Amino acid sequence: MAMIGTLTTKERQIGMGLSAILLVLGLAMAGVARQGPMALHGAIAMILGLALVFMLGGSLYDQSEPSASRLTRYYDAPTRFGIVMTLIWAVVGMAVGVWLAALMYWPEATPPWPATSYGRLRPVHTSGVIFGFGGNALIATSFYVLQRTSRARLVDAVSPWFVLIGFNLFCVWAATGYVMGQTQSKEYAEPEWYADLWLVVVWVTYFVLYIRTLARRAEPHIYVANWYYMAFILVVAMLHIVNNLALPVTLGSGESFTIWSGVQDAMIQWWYGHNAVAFFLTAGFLGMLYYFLPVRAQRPIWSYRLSILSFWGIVFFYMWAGSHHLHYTALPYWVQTLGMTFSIMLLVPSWASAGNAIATLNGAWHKVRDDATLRFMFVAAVFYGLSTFEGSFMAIRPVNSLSHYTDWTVGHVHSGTLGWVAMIVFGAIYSLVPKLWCRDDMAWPKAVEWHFWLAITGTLIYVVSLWNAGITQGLMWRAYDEGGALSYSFIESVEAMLPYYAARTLGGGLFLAGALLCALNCRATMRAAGDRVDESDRPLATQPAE
Amino acid sequence: MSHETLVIIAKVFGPIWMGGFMLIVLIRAYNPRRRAEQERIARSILSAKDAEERT
Repeated sequence: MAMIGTLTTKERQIGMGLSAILLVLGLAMAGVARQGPMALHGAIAMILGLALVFMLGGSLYDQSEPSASRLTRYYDAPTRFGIVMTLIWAVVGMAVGVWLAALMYWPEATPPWPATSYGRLRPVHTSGVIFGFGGNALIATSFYVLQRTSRARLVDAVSPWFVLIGFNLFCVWAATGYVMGQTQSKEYAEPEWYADLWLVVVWVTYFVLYIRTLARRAEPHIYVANWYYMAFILVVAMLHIVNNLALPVTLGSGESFTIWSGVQDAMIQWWYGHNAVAFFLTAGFLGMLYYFLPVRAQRPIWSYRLSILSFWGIVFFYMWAGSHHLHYTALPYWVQTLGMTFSIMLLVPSWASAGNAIATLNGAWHKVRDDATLRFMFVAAVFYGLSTFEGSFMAIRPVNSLSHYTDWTVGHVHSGTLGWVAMIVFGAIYSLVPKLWCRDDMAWPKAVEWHFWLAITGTLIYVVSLWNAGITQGLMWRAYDEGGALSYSFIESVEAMLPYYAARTLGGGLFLAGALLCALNCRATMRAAGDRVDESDRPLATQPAE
Repeated sequence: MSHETLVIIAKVFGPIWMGGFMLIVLIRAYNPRRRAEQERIARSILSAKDAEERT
């Protein structure tokens, strides 16, 4: 309710109007679909719309308007909400991941219902952590970084809420749809057509908000972090639209057929899939790194010009790398080679970014030693360097012949997501939460240190065990006896995985424990919000009369 | 146009386009005249207090 207090009467009325539209949209969806996931999703939208109408409607009479002085400050209420959602999705997404890891070791424990089967829960984990945890963190930090680097307040107060609430509705639709068996069968693009259309509306609003705020900036330049955030927003829109072009079976069914077919479908999917890694899981987080690491270390980025060069390198090269997911398939050989070549070239801008971040810490190593928050960011940069090297290496055709379809790929992905993406998010969260809740430090500073060691231990156990698992699998699958027959049956290679699967569950469990500690620490900090206001943290731009 | 011609054009034009673009970025980013401006931008995100501590 405190969020509504930041809105003027007119903004509350606009919000009420939008909520009413959501209510009607949800009702129409539920009515047309009548049954199945789409009907449930309509009902969820309807209930959310109704709840928002009541909350905003009630506030029209009960709550006073915010003072005009708000326009001389940054608008951080959406960032605060986004951080809370980030933490909730972190715990949910990672808990499902650990549960699934345990099922791999102990498949007999799978409950006897379709909704809890491995295949339905796996996308809950991937979407939960990528979109729920990563997406909310990106949106929340982008609003913060955009305002500080532009020295301008967000141009309006309604659209940030539309973006955040709309995006989380998409995430909830995705997770509940998977559990009910709904999927487009496209990795990281599983949600069905109506959810995809909804996300387009949310994403365009996000982009327009970003551009409008940038246009009002009081700085002559656009700081490099904004370039990365904008590449993230723009390219994700492009990828999402093209990969999700589909024809619904009927308007009332939550099922559709993609317009792409055969090998084109595979190519479009992995053009999307790898660029989801590039622009969802890398570009935006590099934006985070280029802002929060220099600010925390209190040192300017080591080479600003190198950051420009690596930006264009990443944007230009990543686009072509997706076909390395399709080595040894029906895709034309030259397209596979193209993907491989660009993946190797990508090492240059990737290491330029990682090196730039690490070199920024020169002269601040004592801070890295003493400050666990900065250490999170340092480790993130190291893992960014490690996993991009590994990715380029695995894209090489003969290496891929060993690694593809094995757990090495899963280990590689987690080295990137746990070691790089989650670490930079936690670094940003520990920087932001005290600031946004007007305190000097987190409520439990020692818990940050504990979280760091849980996260790093968990990541190392996870990644090392899956490297071993993957290479063992790859070698077992290609071992032949003197007669030319396979030396091992498939099930023998599965049995050989048991110790590694136990270790990865432990590693994932430690990482989850750290995330849980972070969530509790943030909750304690939020509850003990102080009154320390940084008077210098203000926009310079003249504000429009909202 | 035959498939072979298209492939030759792609192979000739592609690297020139990519290389040319990178060259433009390189020249613009590493132009010494932009150095002071870049230095100012890099420091613009740090608060005045932080900047004093460093100098």
